[in-house]
Amino acid sequence: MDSVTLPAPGRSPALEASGRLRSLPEDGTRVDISDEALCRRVAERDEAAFDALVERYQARAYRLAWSVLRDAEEARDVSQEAFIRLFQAAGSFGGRSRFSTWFYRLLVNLCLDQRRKTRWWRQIFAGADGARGGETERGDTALDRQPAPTIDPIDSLDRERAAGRLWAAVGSLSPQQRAVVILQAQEELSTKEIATILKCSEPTVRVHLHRALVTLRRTMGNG
Amino acid sequence: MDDMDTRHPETELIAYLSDELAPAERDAVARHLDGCPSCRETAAAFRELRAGLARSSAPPVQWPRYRAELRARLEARVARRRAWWRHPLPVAVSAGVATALVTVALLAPSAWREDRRPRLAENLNGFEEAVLGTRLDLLRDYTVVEHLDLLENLDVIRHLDGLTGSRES
Repeated sequence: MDSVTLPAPGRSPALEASGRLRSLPEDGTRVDISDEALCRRVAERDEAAFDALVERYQARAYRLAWSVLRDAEEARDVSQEAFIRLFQAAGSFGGRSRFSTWFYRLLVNLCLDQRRKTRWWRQIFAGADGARGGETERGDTALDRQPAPTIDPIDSLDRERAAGRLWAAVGSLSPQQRAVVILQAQEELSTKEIATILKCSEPTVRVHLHRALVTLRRTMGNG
Repeated sequence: MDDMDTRHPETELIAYLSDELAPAERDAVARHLDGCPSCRETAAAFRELRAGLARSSAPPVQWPRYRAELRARLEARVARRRAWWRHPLPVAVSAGVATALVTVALLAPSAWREDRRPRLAENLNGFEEAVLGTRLDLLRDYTVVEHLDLLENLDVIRHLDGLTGSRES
């Protein structure tokens, strides 16, 4: 740990254009290195392996954190903290589960901790804003007031508004329900993986998911 | 009769949409959906919601800047740990001071609760002794003073001069 010297920003010599770290054995064959193998290398303080994992997971980590926290600044901060914890605790990755499951658990726990920490001032803020969860009188949500989102150019204005309403509705879910819904819908994780990440049973995950979807459907005025 | 013939699937519907059911359960849910418009509508709504949630609209991030920030934070964290190990003395002193403060914090309340009146009396006795100590030269002239601790009668003390005289005579 003490002797770590990180390479300059943007420098990842081992990364290929595809974004996948590859080794180049002497016989010239190219082999994809798995997340798990990279994590083991990070445990040995391999900076290139760390860079590779960051590049592989940065977008997913940030997106997941943003979906749970609904705040760009916090999402960046928490997802970066997750990578720092990954660097510090890579040695504790036992390999019993997939790396992604292990990392998502770390990240989701940080997100839920962050939610707990900021709950009190969020309530005060929401109280000052009215009892509408931060919506303005025009019906704009916090999402609408954020910088322009990344959108598909073919998306219509109506679709954007629908997405805004949907994400505002997600904001009304409990943190656990929100985490389950996002892990399932966005990250396409199985119920078993989500149960491992949230340290609960598979039936509990399904109950969370069912209740979340029922709430969202009702909030969106579709049921 | 199938269990799904008498009730609507709930969590089973979630598992069905995720294709996580065993074949027999999957067939049971499918049969129920065939005959239940309400559940078909729910399933369609759930599918639509999940598709909407899959399209995250997270604000954009400048990834090079993100990685540079991460690198800076990580280096700062590493440097902090390094400083800890390279300067053990200040850490040990700090730990000692912290331990002392904790000890005082733990013991002070119980000490505060003790009855302070006897301690005040003790302090007064000490004060009187100190005053007497400053006048030892005067007391040295009275030979009887060596037995002062045996004298309980204040009148005797008040007439020390007389006692001295009588002893001399």
